[in-house]
Amino acid sequence: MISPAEERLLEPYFAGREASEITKRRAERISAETGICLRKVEWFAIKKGFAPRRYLRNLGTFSYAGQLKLLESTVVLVGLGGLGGQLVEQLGRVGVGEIIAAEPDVFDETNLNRQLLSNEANLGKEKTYEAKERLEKINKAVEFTGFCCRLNELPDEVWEKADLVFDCLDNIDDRLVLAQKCSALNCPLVHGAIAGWYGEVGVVWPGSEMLEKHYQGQHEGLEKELGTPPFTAAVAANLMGAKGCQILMGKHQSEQSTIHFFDLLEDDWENIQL
Amino acid sequence: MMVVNVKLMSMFAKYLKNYPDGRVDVEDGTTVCGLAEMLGLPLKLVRIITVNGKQEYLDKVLFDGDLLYIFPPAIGGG
Repeated sequence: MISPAEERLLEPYFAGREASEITKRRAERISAETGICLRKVEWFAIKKGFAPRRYLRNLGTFSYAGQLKLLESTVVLVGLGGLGGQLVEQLGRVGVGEIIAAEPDVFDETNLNRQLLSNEANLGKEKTYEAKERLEKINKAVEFTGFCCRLNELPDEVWEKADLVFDCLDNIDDRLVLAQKCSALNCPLVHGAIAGWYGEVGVVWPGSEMLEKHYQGQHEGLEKELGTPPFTAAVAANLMGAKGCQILMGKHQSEQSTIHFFDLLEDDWENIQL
Repeated sequence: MMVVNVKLMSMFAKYLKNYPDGRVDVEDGTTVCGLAEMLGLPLKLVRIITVNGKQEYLDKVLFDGDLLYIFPPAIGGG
């Protein structure tokens, strides 16, 4: 995560001090004085037993070791709509070190009911631009790169960096292309989809062909008929975030590909292993 | 005759409106496909089927007391 030279620069800020909390202001000052990015400063502080105050309410849940793994991680978000926009917020607050997103669209009025990054003032603006703005407001330590492009236009070096990929797409054909890509890269994929009150979230391990089995040659879903309300998008996205962080921290229960279905109208939750 | 406990998720729920407790009487030897057709489900939209928590397919023969789930697809992410 950091070079020996960077370690030598950072060490004096922590050596001989009793491990304690570290404020955002102090981390930013260390970053400015050393020229080392905030992500690495936070990482080094935690390594030395100092708790960045911004992650204080994470640490009880994740432990210092878990928070370090999150800061070390690179995730790729494919799609910044109802699911991807919520995930930007969650992953940014949680402190995932690097987020790379692909989304070709700009915001329009039909996004306002559910897409967290959309608002009345940014209609017509690129979703990737707004994601970057949002992350700079909530956590400057997170490195973000947005590509205003489709899935198949993302450069190879993005895929090579990915520890985990989130499928926040809106059509089956692209979802299957993404699943094959992740399988070839041996990279786990967190899938999410919604239709009305109903949604599904799946963890797809490489080689499982879970999405191929799931969609079985189908090309159309139900969301145009049933709509995409905000709470279904939020439930699915937050479940995706929880599953994703578990995988990044090595806390996920098993490598069996599982799909979680929920129906918020019927209060029904089902988990199926595929 | 036997009784199968049926749960239809999301848009499929309306096909169970005549069975508010989800208990459906069927002939012995009925398959998932037979039961789905009896309820009027659009078979081309049937995606995942589970019987007693295990994934099954349309040709699965049902038994008395089985718990059957049928899931439609969801695609939206936007």
